Amino acid sequence: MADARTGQRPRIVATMGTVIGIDVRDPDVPETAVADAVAWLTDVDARFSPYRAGSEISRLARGEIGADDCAPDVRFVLTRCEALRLESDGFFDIRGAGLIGGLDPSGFVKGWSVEEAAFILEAAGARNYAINAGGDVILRGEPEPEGQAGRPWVVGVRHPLEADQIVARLAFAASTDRRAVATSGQYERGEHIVDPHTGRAPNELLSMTVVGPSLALADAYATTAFAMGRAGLTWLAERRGYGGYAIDKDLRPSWNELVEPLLAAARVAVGPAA
Amino acid sequence: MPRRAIAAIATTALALALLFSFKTPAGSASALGLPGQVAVAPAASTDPGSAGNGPAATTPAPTRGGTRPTPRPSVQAAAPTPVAAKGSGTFTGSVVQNPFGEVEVQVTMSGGKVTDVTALQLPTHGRSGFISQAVAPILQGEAMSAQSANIDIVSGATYTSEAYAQSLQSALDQTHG
Repeated sequence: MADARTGQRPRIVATMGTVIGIDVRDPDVPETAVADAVAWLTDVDARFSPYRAGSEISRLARGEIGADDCAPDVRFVLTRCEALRLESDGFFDIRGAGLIGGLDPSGFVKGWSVEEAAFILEAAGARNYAINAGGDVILRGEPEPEGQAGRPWVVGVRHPLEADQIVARLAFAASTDRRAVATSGQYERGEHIVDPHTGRAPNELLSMTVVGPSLALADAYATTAFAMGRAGLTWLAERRGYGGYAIDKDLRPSWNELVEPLLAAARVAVGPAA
Repeated sequence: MPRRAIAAIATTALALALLFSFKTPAGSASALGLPGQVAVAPAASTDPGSAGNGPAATTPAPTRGGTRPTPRPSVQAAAPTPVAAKGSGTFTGSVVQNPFGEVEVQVTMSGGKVTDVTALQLPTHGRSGFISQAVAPILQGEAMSAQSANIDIVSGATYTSEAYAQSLQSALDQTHG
């Protein structure tokens, strides 16, 4: 979309096995804030990645160190992941023979660390920004604070089979609240999500998109609800503030009531697709 | 079968369908290629239709932001206003009552085909926990092309750093930059 924003270009950084775009739309946020956010994300990747032999997670998985030897934020992540395992009846599980190194907290770490990166931007004054971490989004404010003031952020949900199309638009009215959109599916990286109860890849859905206030939780909930299949939306309805938009294997969309106003707002905000 | 009869049937069918569906505003009937939606009760809920406007005992806790319920398909249909010759024009259906309130729909037809359905009146109160589902799947080619969708950002399953170059988000980043 052509727009009249006056802020700097989005900063694109390859880390955590994907590409993260940091898009600050405030004109007066120093570039050092974006650099600090990038440095934080790079540090998290080095310490939490199960794909890096020297990371604390890998050393923990090999038994070289104990949980007490880990940094406070590593212990925090492990604690939160255990809480999510219990909350999800075992569907969200960072431990298992099928996981790299037997311990892979990536399903929480990416969303959590990107949310922390958003706090870094906000500490430097950012109020209008979006970060897209490989398809998982956190945003605040509005996209054109100095141009078309009041225009909402509009997030497109990718078509699970056709990479150049979107299946839904979600509009987030300008707000001081942070909002997150996270999507899980197997169409980009193969069957990396496993239903821990069956040991097999879930096959009822092609994608599950979760919206809510926290990207850390939205990311973990998307993985969880995707693994649950059709029951995922019902499970999400019990998570206060969170909702889902699912595409099943027959390409039929369904969504929680919480998502309905976002779909409606997109139709009002940007009109029908051309 | 005469065209007029076909149009009348189509209109009635749409009016029926709209008891449990509502569409995009006029002009955007196929914005998502979604022909409508139905509400399905969550598995944890008992028959929600019997609960009237009050919360069902087993309904999950309310979620924030969801204020508009999707009407349920358990309501009798009201016949729409008569169909004009050759099945063209805009027709307003009767106001019907469902467990969440009153629903009124408008059907636009052209040349015997339904071109748009708009909800004129929808219940403004409701419960959380309901799940809406499109009546039909998104057919290939029906979805929006990203170029025409006026979006700022794309959510999808996590792409690899190698796949980013071919992603919609990459295209958007180049446009925005």
